Amino acid sequence: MKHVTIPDSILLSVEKPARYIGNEIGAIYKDPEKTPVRIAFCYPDVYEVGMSHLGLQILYGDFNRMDNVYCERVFAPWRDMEEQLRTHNIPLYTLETYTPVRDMDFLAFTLQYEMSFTNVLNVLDLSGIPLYAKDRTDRDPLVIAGGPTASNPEVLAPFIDFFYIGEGEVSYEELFRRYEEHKAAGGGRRDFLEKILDLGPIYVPAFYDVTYQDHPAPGASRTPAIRSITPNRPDAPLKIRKDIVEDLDTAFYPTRPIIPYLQTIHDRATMEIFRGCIHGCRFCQAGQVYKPVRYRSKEKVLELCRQIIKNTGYDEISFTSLSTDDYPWLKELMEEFHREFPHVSVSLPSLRVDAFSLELMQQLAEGKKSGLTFAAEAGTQRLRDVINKGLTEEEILSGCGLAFHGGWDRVKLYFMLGLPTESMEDVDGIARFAYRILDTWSQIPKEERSRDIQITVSTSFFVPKAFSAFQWAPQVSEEEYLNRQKFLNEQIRSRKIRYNCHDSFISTLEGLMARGDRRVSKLVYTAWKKGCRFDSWSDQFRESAWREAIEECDIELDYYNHRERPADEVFPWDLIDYGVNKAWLRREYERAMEGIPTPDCREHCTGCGMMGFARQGLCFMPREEKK
Amino acid sequence: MMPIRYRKRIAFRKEGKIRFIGHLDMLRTFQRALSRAGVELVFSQGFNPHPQMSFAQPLSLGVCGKREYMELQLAEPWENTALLQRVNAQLPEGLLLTECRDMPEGVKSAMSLSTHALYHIELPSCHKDEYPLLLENFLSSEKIPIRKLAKHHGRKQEVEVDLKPMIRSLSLSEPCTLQLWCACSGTENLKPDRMMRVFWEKSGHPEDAGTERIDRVDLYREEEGHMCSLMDLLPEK
Ligand code: SF4
Repeated sequence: MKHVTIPDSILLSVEKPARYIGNEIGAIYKDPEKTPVRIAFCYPDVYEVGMSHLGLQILYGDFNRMDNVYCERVFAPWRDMEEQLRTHNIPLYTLETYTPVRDMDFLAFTLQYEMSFTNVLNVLDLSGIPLYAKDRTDRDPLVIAGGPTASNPEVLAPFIDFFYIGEGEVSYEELFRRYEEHKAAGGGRRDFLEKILDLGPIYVPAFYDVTYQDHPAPGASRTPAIRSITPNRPDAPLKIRKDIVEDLDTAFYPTRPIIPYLQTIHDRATMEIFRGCIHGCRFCQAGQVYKPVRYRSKEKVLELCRQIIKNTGYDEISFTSLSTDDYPWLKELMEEFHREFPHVSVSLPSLRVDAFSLELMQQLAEGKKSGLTFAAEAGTQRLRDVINKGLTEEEILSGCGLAFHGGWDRVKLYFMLGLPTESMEDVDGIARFAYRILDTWSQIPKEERSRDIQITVSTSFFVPKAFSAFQWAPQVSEEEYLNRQKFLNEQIRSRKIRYNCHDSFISTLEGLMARGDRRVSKLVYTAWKKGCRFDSWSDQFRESAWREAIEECDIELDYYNHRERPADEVFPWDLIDYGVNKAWLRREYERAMEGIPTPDCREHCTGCGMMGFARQGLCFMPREEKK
Repeated sequence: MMPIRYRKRIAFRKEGKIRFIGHLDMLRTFQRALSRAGVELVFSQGFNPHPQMSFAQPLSLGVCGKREYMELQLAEPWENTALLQRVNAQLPEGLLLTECRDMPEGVKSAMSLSTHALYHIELPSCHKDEYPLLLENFLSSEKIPIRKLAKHHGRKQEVEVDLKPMIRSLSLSEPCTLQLWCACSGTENLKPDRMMRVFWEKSGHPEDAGTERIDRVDLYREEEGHMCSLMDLLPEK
């Protein structure tokens, strides 16, 4: 097999050449001659972003645990490197063995956000792999995509040979075993795709046909809605059911992660303490697609920490999950961890602020007062009920009060603009919220609080996502987004309150990708052709190219974004089964419109459908309580 | 009270792909390797304590180091060979500790001692016959100016720097190898890759910039006209 050599002169001419050399501690080296199944695993963004992603470390370790498999990495080269590769005619290569990606058996993408789609195409192109699945031959790798953004696979469907839905630790081993057999027997790529349909989480877009209505959808001027998505062969399943790891304690966890040379976004060890979330925030996709909650036992967490710290030499570790507070043994875990590793600092993302967590943070930060963060999401209680965000203003104010007494002097508040049913009163509520926090601080006697205060209000635009309860909701137009942003900006006048906002056109595009269908794929292609890459990087984003592409492809935003979708509409992602019923989501949507909150899974199971996936008992309970 | 500390000067090599790792990234790599090897460093006192570890002079990206220097203050006594072995087992390919000596009380740091560096610069063989003449021309110019960003009157701005006075000697040691002795200290530090860019421009081959392979052979202190390697300034053992 050929290897790529990158001349020094190229590495010297690009920014951060360490992105392209591999050779890190923890990277795995195998004899490719002895591994019949070779995979290029791609996080379609720049190296530092991809290497901060836990999912990559998990699957990299898990795949390489298998003797017949060799999994290597590839990332999206930055524009300067892309230019060098193109001028020198060098194909994109894997970081471990410098093998051209096109010589691998699989190229597997993990999709974490919509705005990485043009990078997916660029990676294919730089690898010399035909962009469209239909144009590939048996000499090309099979192109896989997975990850939370694959929950609506349709926008990328024409470019991907098959999607893997759900958690990769489950069925890949069997899939690779079948591939090894298949390769030895010598069959074509289509034969192989047929052989894995029964595994469950596999979606082969080419095996399904989409038909459309013969009239435009209500609220759209020219785009018809989907009539049906049907298999074009008898063995293609009608539902593609996600895979889930049932027991985190016995699941693989990477205790020898790759340690990048470059400073990554999270320059520390990562310990996943649980998966899934018990809350049902109605705008949240992750909360639904990662259901149900599965805890890793405290003993297992500590055991893994021991190995990770020894193997990496990191002096900081982050305990991650979707909502740290819900870990049932958090207090004990923190105490035991500190006793055993007094010199290793811990970071706990997304922690609710109360007396317990403040005490924790005091310990964690050891005098360094980092800011407090609250994701309030909406400015009024009414709207927080609509989105089912169980965080009240009183909780936040009392948390802030405690923190100010403790000397904290920076507060960050996150909100979304454009949530369903939002009125200007709700937008104004954001400003009033910030002012009440300021009042809380002012009312504390001077000698008991910090000298000054900085409150930062950040707003992003709400984007409806597949599998969230708001998947039917209209997305606010760009113009309206900006109106609300401007209005809010005018309400904030104190110099102690800073306002940060987001680009509205990027949110529009994100919404288009998030709920788009196969007809939107040509937009991604056209934008890529026009040079769009790294669209999630504001300095790389090419607004005019995207606008031209929308125009050329005749994409109707009124259809994809602005209209409310009818209750009975066939969604592009209807084939995909995350365990949560569409009817349950619809009920949640209707309750949202009435402003009725829904209790979390711990309080009361509302029968979302996930129970069918869990083997025994209540699906959210920690093991001891399960019995 | 000063904590007990054991100072070591360590020579290491930086070769292969790892040449493309920047100085700060290399520093972090060493820190983690030491931690995995169970070597405990002394931390600085004060508000923001950091481990006591220092380097002589950073290498330019892409330059290979044959005898680079790092100094550590250890919290426990370590036998020098054992230390090398333990740490080497934790280093990625391309980084290798080669020598370790104790630094007696009062010895100055490599960073402050270094005055000169020796580089070997391998040139592409395609212009082999031209090099003697090109070198003569290059050295005959009165100035070798480069432009670089520097603090000037409190602001960052482009200033012109003349490399000529920093070159102690530059000669062809082999038909395609330049040997460069130059200033390498905290106040004056010639970056050979920058010098070579001027060389290629003046030679009429600007497209060849970056095709040379640069090795830093060692760092020295000039004492009474003699160049003494920083490692050899310390007593053996
Ligand atoms: S089945 Fe019940 S407990 Fe399980 S995730 Fe759904 S709502 Fe929560």
